[in-house]
Amino acid sequence: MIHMQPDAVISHFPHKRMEAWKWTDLRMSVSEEHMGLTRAVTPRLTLPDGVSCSPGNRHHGSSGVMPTLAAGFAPVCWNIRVPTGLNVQGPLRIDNLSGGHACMFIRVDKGASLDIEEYHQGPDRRFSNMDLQVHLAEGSRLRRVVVQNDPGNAVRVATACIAAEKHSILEQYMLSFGGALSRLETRLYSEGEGIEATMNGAYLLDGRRHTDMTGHVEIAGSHCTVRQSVKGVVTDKSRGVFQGKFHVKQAAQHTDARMRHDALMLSDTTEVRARPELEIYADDVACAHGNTIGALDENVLFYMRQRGIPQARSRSMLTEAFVAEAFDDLDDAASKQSLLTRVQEWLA
Amino acid sequence: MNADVKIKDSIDRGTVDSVRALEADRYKYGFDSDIDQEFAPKGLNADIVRFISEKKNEPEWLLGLRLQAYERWLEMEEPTWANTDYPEIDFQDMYYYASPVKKEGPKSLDEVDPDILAVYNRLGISLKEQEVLAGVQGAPKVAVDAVFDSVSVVTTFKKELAKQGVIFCSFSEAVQDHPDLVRRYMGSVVPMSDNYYATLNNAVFSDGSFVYIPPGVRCPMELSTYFRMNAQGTGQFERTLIIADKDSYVSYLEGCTAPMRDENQLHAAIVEIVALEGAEVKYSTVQNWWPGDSEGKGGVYNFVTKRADCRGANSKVSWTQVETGSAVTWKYPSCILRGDNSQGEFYSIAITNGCQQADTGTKMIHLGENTRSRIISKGISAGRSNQTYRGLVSSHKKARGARNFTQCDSLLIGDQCGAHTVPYVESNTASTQFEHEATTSRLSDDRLFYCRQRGLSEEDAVALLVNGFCREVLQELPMEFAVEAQNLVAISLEGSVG
Repeated sequence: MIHMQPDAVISHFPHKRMEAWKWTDLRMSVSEEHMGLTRAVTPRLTLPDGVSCSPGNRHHGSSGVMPTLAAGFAPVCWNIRVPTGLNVQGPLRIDNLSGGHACMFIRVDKGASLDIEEYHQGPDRRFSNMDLQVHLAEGSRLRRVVVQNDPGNAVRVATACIAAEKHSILEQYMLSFGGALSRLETRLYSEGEGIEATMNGAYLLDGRRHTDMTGHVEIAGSHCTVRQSVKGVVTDKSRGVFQGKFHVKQAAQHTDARMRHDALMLSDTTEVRARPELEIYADDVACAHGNTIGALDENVLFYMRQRGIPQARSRSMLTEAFVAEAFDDLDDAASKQSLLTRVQEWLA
Repeated sequence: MNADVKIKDSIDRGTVDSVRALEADRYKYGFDSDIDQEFAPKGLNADIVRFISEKKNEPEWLLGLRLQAYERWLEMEEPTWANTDYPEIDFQDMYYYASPVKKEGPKSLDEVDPDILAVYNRLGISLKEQEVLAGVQGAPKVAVDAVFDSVSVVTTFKKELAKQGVIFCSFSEAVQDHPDLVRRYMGSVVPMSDNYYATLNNAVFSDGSFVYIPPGVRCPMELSTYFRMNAQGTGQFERTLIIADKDSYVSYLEGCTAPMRDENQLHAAIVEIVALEGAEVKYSTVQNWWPGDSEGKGGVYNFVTKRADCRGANSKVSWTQVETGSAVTWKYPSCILRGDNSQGEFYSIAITNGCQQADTGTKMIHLGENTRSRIISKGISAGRSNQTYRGLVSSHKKARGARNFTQCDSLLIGDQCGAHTVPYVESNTASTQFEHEATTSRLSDDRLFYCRQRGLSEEDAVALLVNGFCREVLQELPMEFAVEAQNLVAISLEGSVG
């Protein structure tokens, strides 16, 4: 445990002169009035049968200032374990992640399978910082569904650091509605061969909200498949940030990795920033990235209006279809419907 | 290429042979020439800056600017963000001025040292305008400014160009003969302390080319500058300024080579282009500085700032570059699209081999309404080289209707090289449309389908499309350079990654 005054904590925060945070100036977005800067928060965990949880020490160090601060302020790291071969029925639900620092470690043992639902939402003017470490053992599977829905004056940083052994599967779907600032960062380290990862997400922002979806995927084993697709919708004076990086090491031959970011700007005062990055050292790979930023297609809107659909409805339908694509591959119907309902509510 | 570099089975022999042909030790421009030269004392200080200025008989204001830049440069730090790795440069261990010893008398082609003419002949650069004027078959009609280390030795076709009002001369001459134009535009595109190397250039720039195209004139011939770095232990810091007045057009070519040496030589240039209303500038480069040997010994550090300001409405600047040389390249030819409806283009083919490192790309900054830009970048890495495409596309709030299309494809040949892509995209208005893609399959899904419908195998279809596309980039080069470039890029593109 460390003891610091709020202003001292803020002075350690990343800022826009740091390349990885150039579009997400955390230091400028937080004030001493934000609650939770110097305290820990205890996550509320709803454990399905067969999953154990115990307080303990942090397992391995996630790099970066924010995970280090989380580990420093949280007195314990919550260690969650799924035993070998267990196919867990029902999701592990994690909430109460607002107003402080939290530290968790999840280990999914060999051949086991787990679904997580994370809810990042809380009251006004809270600062929240979560460090989640995950270890996926050989042949295990993890599905992570994240919903972030904070008030417009809340600041949140959630960092997940996932180490995957061979033939493990990661499915991740994120839906963010932003805040004064929110950064959802995922770092995936593929340490073995044949790993499959899907890292999709969507952000829907209005007012002066800001969301940063950052992903860093390091591939060290061969025959890995990575799919990343992030959709963004911004309106009013909001700002959407996407940063993605695939780092394909020399041994990672036959990697098939694709990254996409598409953003819809619904008003002239919005901002979108994107950096889809590839760093490739293996020659027999198929890696790609794509990025598009623009407004709704006027021709399509005209077509819909010709068929008697009112303009507002047309825009809403097109936007929903655009966002929904990020969740197409989610094969849990209930989770998918829950995410889509939230999207529809935002559009309404 | 090292024998220990494993080549993929799927890459055909022709590709491998073509890459081998580009091997550092086959650099055909690496000959050394024994020319009688005078140097500034080694090292860099305010006196050296004054020495250069005095040698060029510069006015007081330019010396003041140089000294101001030198002071700023002393306070700056060398950038480290590029994906390059090289030993620290000792800026005191090089000559900042080297010039062939001048003969007395008027500067005409006949007066140029025959040894220097022999160097350019050996490089395949014709400095003989009489042949062209006499209609000798096969002699290309290109005006050439030949820059040898720190000075321009000759500029051809000046009189013929002057008939049209076109000014094409060395930068040093322009300072003497057209000071108003130089003072008005120099530093207006690349500010004095824009970056570390640009600031250094401002302090010690030697020579380069100056071009002014008057309103409504279509430059009657290609203009070209050929840079040769000859003297040992010398850096080259040339400065080029191109001004295209209203509704004018010019195509400008740039070529560069250097002898094979074990030492690393520094090249830090500035190119500024100003395109006024309705003007069009086409700037083509075949960069073939000595890349160092296959073990990474020697080679030129190529740290260049190139920027165009599309200042007027409907103006257009097109950068085309074929980058095959240099041990380390750090270069981002950019366009500031200030005028409404202005256009910027960037076509690039970059090949790295041996231990070369290239961090190159472009910036397209959309400020005006309905501005358009297009970026096509092809990178080929072989041997133990590393290549990075780094680009920025941004739109200002007033840039309504701005459009950009970016495509960057990379090919890795061998298992010890790297290819990286770092695009930055910043959009500040909803009416922009920015598209970035970095995969051949994404580009050609529909076309592949079309080709396959007509009975081509997938491999043949991909080869057809990618080769066709690559040729399209090469075709952006003027004919005089296209042949040289095609020889350099005789590599079939296959197995691309983004």
